Amino acid sequence: MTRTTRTARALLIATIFAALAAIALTGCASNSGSSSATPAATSANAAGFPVTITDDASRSITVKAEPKRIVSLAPANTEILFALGLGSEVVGVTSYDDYPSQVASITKVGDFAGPNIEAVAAAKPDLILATSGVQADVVKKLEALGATVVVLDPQSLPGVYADIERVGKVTGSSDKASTLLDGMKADIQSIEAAVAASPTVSTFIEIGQNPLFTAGQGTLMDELITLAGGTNVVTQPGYVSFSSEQLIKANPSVYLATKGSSSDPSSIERRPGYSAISAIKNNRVVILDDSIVSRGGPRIVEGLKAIALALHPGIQLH
Amino acid sequence: MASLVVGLMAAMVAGVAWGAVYVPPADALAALGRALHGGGGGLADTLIVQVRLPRVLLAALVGASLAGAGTLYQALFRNPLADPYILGVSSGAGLGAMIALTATAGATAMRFGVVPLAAFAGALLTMMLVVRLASLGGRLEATSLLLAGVALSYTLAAITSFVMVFAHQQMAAIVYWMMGGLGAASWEYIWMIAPMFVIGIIVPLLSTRELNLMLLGDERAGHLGLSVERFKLVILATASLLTAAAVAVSGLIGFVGLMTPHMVRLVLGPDHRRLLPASLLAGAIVLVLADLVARTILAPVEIPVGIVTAVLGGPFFIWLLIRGRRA
Repeated sequence: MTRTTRTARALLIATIFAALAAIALTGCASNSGSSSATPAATSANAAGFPVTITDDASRSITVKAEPKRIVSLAPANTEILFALGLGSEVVGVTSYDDYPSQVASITKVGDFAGPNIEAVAAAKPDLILATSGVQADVVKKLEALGATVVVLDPQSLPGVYADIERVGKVTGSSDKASTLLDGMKADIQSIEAAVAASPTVSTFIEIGQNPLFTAGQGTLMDELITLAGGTNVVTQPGYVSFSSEQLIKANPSVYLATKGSSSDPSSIERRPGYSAISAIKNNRVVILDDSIVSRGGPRIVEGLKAIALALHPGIQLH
Repeated sequence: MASLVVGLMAAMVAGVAWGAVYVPPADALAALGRALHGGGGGLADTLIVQVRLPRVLLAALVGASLAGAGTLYQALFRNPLADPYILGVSSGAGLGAMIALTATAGATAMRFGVVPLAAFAGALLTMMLVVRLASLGGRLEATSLLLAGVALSYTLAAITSFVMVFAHQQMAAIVYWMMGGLGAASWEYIWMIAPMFVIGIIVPLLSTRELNLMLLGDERAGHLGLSVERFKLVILATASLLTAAAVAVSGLIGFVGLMTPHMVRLVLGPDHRRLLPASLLAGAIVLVLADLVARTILAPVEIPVGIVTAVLGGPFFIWLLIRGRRA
């Protein structure tokens, strides 16, 4: 056992040194790069660089010059970058990224939960868009090595708007960001208007099936349900494991499930006691693509649209 | 023993009576009455008959299976650390379940039945492989069995993690399954594991004298007329059947299989004529109560039952140990 531990520790130390060396090299490379790009810096200054923003981890981040090589460590971040027309500047994504289809040919720097620091460094990014939670440690390590990291982790629709605005600022694409936001807000308003006349529908959303896992108050999914003209039957805050007894008693009219919960309507209908739920009786189980209802990016509008149509099948949306 | 039977009855009544939703006792009784006559469709009927009753019964079956398997493995290896997990059976079940979850990614309707069956197949295949590896030198030694089990267990766990990296769409489902829990309990599950449970306990319950002989060591047990190698294989097979039954329907629930036999042994002593049936009953009580706590303490939020078994079981076990030392 001790031997294994020792070997593991040696490996870990070796990895850290390798990562340090890689980042040091990157640092040199980008330094020499910026000195040769000094004439370009004047034009970058026109776009407002250097810019300073406060990210979702409440840190003040200064981006010195318009980034040309961006690594995105979350699918939502990648979708924002592509929506702002910055796809060609994205030089690294995670293996979780699947939208838009062009990401397939971009270098993968590890998975969402554990991005590989060496791989990130090898992509020589001048800006990294990370997320919080599972990536908190990674962010610290990358920053310790001198990288510019912006943390995006929106928990609400206004949070998504703010993040799109932030990405616009730090990439010198503020105009595109405000056009994108105007479009999103207009779409959302028209969805809200379309459901306004209909009575609210009691709704449950399943994220995981065993244990039954759901999104409660204060989550982005809960906000989408409310905007789409529904009421979440879950009154607890946050993402919680929920009692099927309480669900049967709450008797929602619509049962939403994300694809990632590995469910389909027929398996949901067969669960014990579910036959008593009105959503099951009336055949109103709808499976949603999790990438549009859980990612805090521009496609959240599609997620809202999908939920609105699930709750109010009769409404007209364009 | 009688007190354990009463204890199990009381635990099960409590398990059916309490839940995330309050059902008045009179309604619960009425619902049970209606169920016996095949009728009823109100809220109380659904909750009591379709949700709580199968969950409590399944908890009892799984708890008894895990504790029974733990008792048998510990007797077989004369090793207090032997449990349903150290032989790699759980890792085999985990890999089987993961393969099924990944393979049925597009056809989730099949998943309900396929995953438990694949877990069961994984558990049995692993057990057979471990026994085969351990008996390569001729005799089936306890030490080589444990070593083969541990080695294979690590290998299988590594393969599981490796595949999980690539099947990240299914990761949540796999992780949830591995955390263990009885939330998926249904009558189908009970009918599925009840036969496995019955077969798995009848053989050892009829061999409690032989199990006692095993405690004397392979050689002395052999001198006293026991065909040790064959007996080991039979007990291994039944214990693995019990483990597989439990793992197939509830994922990986720790602690019960390892600790319950120890608790019972501290109170009743090592005689398997009392130890084995008492462990079965105690395991059932432990898991029924732990699941009751798991689903009511923060209701309607549920917590993983493995947390409850460990948090309540650990200190209780230490208390038993201290009390045993003083006496």
